[in-house]
Amino acid sequence: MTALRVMLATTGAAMLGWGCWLLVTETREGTVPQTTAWLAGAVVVHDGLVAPLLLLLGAALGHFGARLRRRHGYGPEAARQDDVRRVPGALRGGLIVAGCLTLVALPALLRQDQPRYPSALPLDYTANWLTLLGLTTLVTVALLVLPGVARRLRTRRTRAGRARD
Amino acid sequence: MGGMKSLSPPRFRGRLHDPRTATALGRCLGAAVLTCFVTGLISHVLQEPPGVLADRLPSRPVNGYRINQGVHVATGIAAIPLLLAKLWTVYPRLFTWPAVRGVRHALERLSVGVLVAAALLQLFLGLLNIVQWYPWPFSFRPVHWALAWVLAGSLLLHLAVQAPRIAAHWRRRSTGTRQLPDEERDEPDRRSLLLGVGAAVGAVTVVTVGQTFAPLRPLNLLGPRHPEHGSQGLPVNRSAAAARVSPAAVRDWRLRVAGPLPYTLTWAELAALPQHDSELPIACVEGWSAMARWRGVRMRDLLDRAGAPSGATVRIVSLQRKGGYAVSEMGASYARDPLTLLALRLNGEILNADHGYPARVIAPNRPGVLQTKWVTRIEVLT
Repeated sequence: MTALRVMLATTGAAMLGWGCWLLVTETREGTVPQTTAWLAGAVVVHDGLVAPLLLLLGAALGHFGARLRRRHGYGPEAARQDDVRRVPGALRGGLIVAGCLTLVALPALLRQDQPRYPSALPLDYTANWLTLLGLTTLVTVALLVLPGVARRLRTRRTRAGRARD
Repeated sequence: MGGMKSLSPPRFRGRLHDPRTATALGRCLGAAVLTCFVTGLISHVLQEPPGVLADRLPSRPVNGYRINQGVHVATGIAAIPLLLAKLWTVYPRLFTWPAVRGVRHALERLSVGVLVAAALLQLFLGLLNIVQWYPWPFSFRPVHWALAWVLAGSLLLHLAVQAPRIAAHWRRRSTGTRQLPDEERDEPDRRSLLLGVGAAVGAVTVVTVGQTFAPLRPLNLLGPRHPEHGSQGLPVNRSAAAARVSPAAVRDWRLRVAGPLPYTLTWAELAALPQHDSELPIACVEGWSAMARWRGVRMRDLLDRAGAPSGATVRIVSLQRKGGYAVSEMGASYARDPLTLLALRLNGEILNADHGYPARVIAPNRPGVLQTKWVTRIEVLT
């Protein structure tokens, strides 16, 4: 284990050093400070903006989930609790998917009017992105609603079965 | 507000900022980063072959570069949800207090800083490059290349430092995982988070990978290219106008072949030579690709006619006056390949201006930028 760790660390440090060497020697003048500034900028934008926003969103979802549990979670039917517990998770999944699709679509959405070459960005990205958001919403709602519907169908069937007996 | 209080680090009461979640996400992200690194390395060697390899690069498999670049770009896109989720999980560690506990700790934190910065910037540069958007002041290729080594290196360093922790949380039943506080409550929540991130990885992949992977072409909703959009059934990267190749420049076109027995051919003379068909893809470094039928004269026939030795490297000169690779070199392994053509026709039609009329190079397992259009001169190098 230790030997492997030392080997990994040495290889890693050497590759890191080689990358810095390439950045310094194989690029045109001014690239090093520019790249450093963009590297720092990437961290500042993520750690100062993106991550706090995601955390806030997560906290809001958490509060929403707790309220749902307080209101519905302790009803007579134990099965209902499961449905309620699933709500924040499904919503979170939907938001992650929608957010990532938006992120990937963003460059095309912003550059659609000025492609550099004739067959670059040939699709209607706004319409496609909205379609995908709609689909994500549909799937999320289905994940929220379907377990409850299935449970209700099951209880109805067992009740009908009992009535026949 | 007391000054001291505002200085104290924030506390995180949210769930799943734990080593098990970091390990589960991190191993996928690590695999993605290393895949991007290896495919990037292959692409770099094929595009800028180091001297010793220049004449020995394999021209097979025909689809090699196409698959390599498709995997590179698709994996980069798939890494976006993984990176954001991983950084979300470990975010509280940014506020570790005391911030620095000694030289070793400072170095560790510095290397993590380099890792995070390089990962964020690499994915950002790549994502914008595939739509050919360059808002930064530096040149994309050398910086993406250098940062690839920085990123892969700092990742290996990170793995070495965190190895015991990763091992302790590798599985749901691993010792470290079982010792986590509230694990019973967190486990289903974690599974649901991982499902959400997995769904995002699947979603962004499925709606972009159709730009190169034909079976998923109907689902290509967000890919920057679509193989069916382009003249003569093929996308165009650089048009004749963008490359400053005017109709006047090709009017009195001649192909000049320089070698031991130099000669010059008009388009009609070239078209009268034995023609061959090749089914070859155009595969761009930006991750899109499309198959096409090409017809033209075999490169090796042209070279034999010039009396070129069989191991000769070839220099290809284009009429293009703007953009890189107006002059490029083709190694012997490509030049002698029976599939390599100086193509005159594409999908049954004479090449149009944007596809490189009067003549263009098409060779197997090569990046699109080296499939030179508007060829005017072929030089045999010794």
